[in-house]
Amino acid sequence: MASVAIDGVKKSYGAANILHGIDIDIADGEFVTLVGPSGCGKSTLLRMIAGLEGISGGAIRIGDRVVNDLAPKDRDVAMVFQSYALYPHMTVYENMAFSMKLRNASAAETKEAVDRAARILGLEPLLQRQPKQLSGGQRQRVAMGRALVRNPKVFLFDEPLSNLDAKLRVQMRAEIKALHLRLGTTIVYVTHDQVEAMTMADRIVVMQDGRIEQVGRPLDLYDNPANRFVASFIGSPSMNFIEGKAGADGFETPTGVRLPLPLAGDNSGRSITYGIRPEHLRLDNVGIPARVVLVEPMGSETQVIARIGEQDISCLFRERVAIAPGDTIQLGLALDQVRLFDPESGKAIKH
Amino acid sequence: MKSSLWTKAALTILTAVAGTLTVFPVLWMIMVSLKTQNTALRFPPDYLFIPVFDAYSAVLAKTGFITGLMNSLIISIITLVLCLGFGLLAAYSISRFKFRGAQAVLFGMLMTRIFPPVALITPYFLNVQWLGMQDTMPPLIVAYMALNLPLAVWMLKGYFDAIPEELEQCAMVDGATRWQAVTKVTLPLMGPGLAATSVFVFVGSWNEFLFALTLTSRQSRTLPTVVAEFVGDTGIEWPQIMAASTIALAPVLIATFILQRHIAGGMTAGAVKG
Repeated sequence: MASVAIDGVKKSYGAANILHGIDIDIADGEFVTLVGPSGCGKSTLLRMIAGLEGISGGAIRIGDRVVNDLAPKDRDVAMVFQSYALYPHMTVYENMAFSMKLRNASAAETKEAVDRAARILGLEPLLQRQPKQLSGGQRQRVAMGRALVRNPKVFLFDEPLSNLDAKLRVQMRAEIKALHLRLGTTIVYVTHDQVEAMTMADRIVVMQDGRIEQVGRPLDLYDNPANRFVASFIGSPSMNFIEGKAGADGFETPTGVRLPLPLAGDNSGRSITYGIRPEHLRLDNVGIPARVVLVEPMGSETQVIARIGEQDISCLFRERVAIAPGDTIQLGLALDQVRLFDPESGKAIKH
Repeated sequence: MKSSLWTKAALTILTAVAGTLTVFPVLWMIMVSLKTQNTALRFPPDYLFIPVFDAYSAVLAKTGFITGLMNSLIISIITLVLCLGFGLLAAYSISRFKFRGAQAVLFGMLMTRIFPPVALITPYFLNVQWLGMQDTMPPLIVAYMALNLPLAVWMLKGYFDAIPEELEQCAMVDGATRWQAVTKVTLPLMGPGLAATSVFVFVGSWNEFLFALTLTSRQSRTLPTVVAEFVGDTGIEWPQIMAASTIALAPVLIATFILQRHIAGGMTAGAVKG
């Protein structure tokens, strides 16, 4: 086990800069998720930690060793690939024993390590199978087992669940998290799925265009997003954003809708992006009038698309509601759950 | 469906025609090789006859035939080994390392195939003569390598491209050097590709006639030129020339049949994704 320190790391291909100086300190035993839209550089960063991509600037430390110029095999990390990358000409056992063999471990030692990993992941009945005989979920598990055999300093996961169906993904999510609690090994986990990031990680690194937008614990990111991008990326359905200006008595959109503004002092005339999460809107007797466009009942909750002024916003109600498209409803909101952003910079406005 | 039935019928007929056109000359060759000069020239030909092996014993007894067979084997195998060695290295680097000019190298190699070999034979002959290496094997091996290497690189590059790079990367994170990753993971998966490339390269030098005819006279004659010598001043011994051709064809045919199973492929199934 070891900490990972990423210190001003840059990556460029010729003139194209992919990463513009990334700083992350990952503590020993921590589960950190790199999350962001595709092309944000999260996978590149993970591959740089693994040693599969060169480092154009800065330093990566695993434990107290700078690994910039070390070959992947000398970094003592294990990686689970999105495609699983199982060796197709080897059985499950041989796949898992491969790394031990490369290190000239004895047959007994290899068998013990493979059996231990197989026991943890319930792979014992599959050891003599070929990868092509396995289902997607089983392949995923073998890929993890292969990493587990090594007992490495750091586990690297590159979108390991994105090829699984929704149900299996939820199950594997829980398994990986349980595995982390049990082994306590440092994990760096890349995903584009914010739900995976929220549910599994100790800390989340939100990235966009090769930069870090915010680093924090899942609920901190949810409660106090540093900017509009993080606010929209974390949480599902996404936060509603309404453009407008601060007026004499609250927030006002160009179409004349008025909303309460939790901002002290005189801000008259200031342009503001008003953010409110769908789950923080509620049906009220007196509130903002809105016309229902769409009702999506999901059993445990109801999602409603409603129009305020000229803008559609989504609302999420915990209860079942007897409303239909075309109805007019009154929406209430709690002031302390409103988030304000500067339209120019996208940064959060403190209040 | 009506149209698919027509398509099927048309395809079946075309396949039958193509198959007949390919197989008939080979069967004819074998048939004539088992006759005597008298029965071979009879018209209409006998399709049912008692085979005799006179032609084969005559061919094997002919001076230079066994030497030619051995020369062909030695030259083709050395060419094959060299082409696979250099071809694998070149194809791997073009496929995996995105270096500047990779496409140019690949295209340049294709360009060399544009020249008809006959245009190169005279200058090459003069060089070999200047080196005093006429009638030796190395000039032939060099020539065959030059002729076949571009093809080998192109084929092998395609097969490397088909093996996911992630498998090698995974092996390297697992503790392998790049060399180990390639030899333990990529090459075992390239079996079909290696087999196909080997057959092409081997056949390329095994069947080559022009360079062999020009560059050798006695010691280093290869089989195709020896077979051609059966066309003598006093006429053509048809059964003998056919027997010689059959013997020349045998190794290639056997190798192809053995490797056919591997060429069929399907080895990478289950490597990646669900």
